[in-house]
Amino acid sequence: MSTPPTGASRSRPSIGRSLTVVLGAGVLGYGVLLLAPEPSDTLWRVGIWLAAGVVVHDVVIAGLSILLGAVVLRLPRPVRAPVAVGLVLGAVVAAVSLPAWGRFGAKADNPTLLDVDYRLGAILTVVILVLGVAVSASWRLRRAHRATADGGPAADPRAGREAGEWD
Amino acid sequence: MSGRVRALVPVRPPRPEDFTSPLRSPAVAARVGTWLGVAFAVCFVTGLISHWARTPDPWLAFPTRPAWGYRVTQGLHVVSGTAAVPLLLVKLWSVYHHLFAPPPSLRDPRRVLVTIAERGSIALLVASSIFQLVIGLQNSAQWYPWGFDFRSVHYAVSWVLIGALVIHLGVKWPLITAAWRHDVDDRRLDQHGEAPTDDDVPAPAGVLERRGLLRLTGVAAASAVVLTAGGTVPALRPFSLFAARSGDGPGGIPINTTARAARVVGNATAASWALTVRTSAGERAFSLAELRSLPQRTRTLPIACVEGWSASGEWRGVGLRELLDGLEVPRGREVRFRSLQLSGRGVTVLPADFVDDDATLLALDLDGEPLALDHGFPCRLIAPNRPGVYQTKWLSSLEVL
Repeated sequence: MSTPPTGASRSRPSIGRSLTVVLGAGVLGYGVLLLAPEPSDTLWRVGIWLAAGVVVHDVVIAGLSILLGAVVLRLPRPVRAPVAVGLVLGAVVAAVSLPAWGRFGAKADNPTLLDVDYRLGAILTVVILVLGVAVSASWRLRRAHRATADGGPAADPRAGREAGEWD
Repeated sequence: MSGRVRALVPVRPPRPEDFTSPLRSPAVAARVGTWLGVAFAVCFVTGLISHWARTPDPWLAFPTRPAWGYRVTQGLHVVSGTAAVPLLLVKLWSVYHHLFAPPPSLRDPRRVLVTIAERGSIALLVASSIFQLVIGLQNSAQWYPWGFDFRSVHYAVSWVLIGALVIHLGVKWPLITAAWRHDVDDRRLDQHGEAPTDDDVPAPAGVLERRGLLRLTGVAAASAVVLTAGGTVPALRPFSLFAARSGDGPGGIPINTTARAARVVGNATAASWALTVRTSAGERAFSLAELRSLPQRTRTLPIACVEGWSASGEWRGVGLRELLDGLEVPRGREVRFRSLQLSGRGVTVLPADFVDDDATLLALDLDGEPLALDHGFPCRLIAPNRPGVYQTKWLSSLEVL
């Protein structure tokens, strides 16, 4: 079996890869050229929104995910996966639905815009996720309990090692 | 215990090796990244199609068929952008530790330059990816908090994003292909520290297995689509708890700009309303009764909005080409439409192939009823395979160019 490359970006780039990078730089440059004639006011705002997205992700979202990961790692082992799945799905649904349930673009004269009962959706989502996590977690807890009660080895052969606490 | 507390509250900046989860790996990043790349490619291609449809006088005429073409491409644009949100979040999570990689030694200037270029292109890729998904989702719910023109900025930044993505592919190609060739649980490609991870060392037990995370990512992307796409995929309506539009409205079609917002209520409902038709031979005004006395045609055509919602309707009215034939206007001519609406989309030019298409109507009825005031009463343009913003409502005149 071949040895996988370890530091991919450090291996000598082939002509094909070099050309790909040049092509990408050209496409990127075209985008910058398209932006260039915009008024400076627009460019400022675009720059602020570009930077703000990175800061909000790299500091707030990533920070919260590390924090929640640390909390999940303190739960009993069989419960961790269901809780993590519930948190991820809940966060994704919250993110993609924010413009709708926030109703920021609502217009009083247009009843066909933002015309879904988002409160019902939020309640349904939370109920389904909480129920799903609870059922799955209790089932796994009972299974793990039975496994130890039967005198067998712990359900997970790697049970002795704890994960790093950053995750 | 003290080690655990110290790791939780570090007194130094974090390092890549602090992130020990085996999920943060090239195996996961390459797979989720590939799915994300496909979603971005679909967004880019469908975005180019939309841009083409909205370009005046393109060097290649936009086709008038299939009539549902724009409905599908623009629906796909918003659906794949929505699916990309969880894909991007998981992708960024899986490589987050690289943010804390130590800078290269200043004694190796070539390495410093390469690192600056590589990290700069990744910064642009991440920034433009987040930016496009955020403003795109906001736009689909008519939420415009940025104070710039959406269309031109979203278009320009899409080229920046795709360019940075192509650079990223060129740089990472060997790692991506290696990751796909190896089993997802193979840990020899992992790059948390300097040395590659030894396969014999058991992975620290985490929360999910890698396959579990990949499945979860797929479920999250599918959920994001199902919960929001009901405004364009009628079959998904019952499950779309968070669609920006239910997809319903007067005559079964939602409204973008109301008559009140367009300030046309008085003029559109005036008894004196007439449609003025200007040709090289002169000018002729058609009252609503005269338009209704002409042969009426029925066509099933969608309204497909750039925001991603769409709905099909049964329109009835005067065939545009038939009307022009009656006035002896030759084929192959563009027509300029003016609306009673003086701001916004008040004036549009319909390319010749749309003018000559037999499905293009000056619509008077929708779903068996006279047009609702908000749908463009007394008369609106409806053409096949056309962005909704150009289906001009509250027509006041048309001019053969």
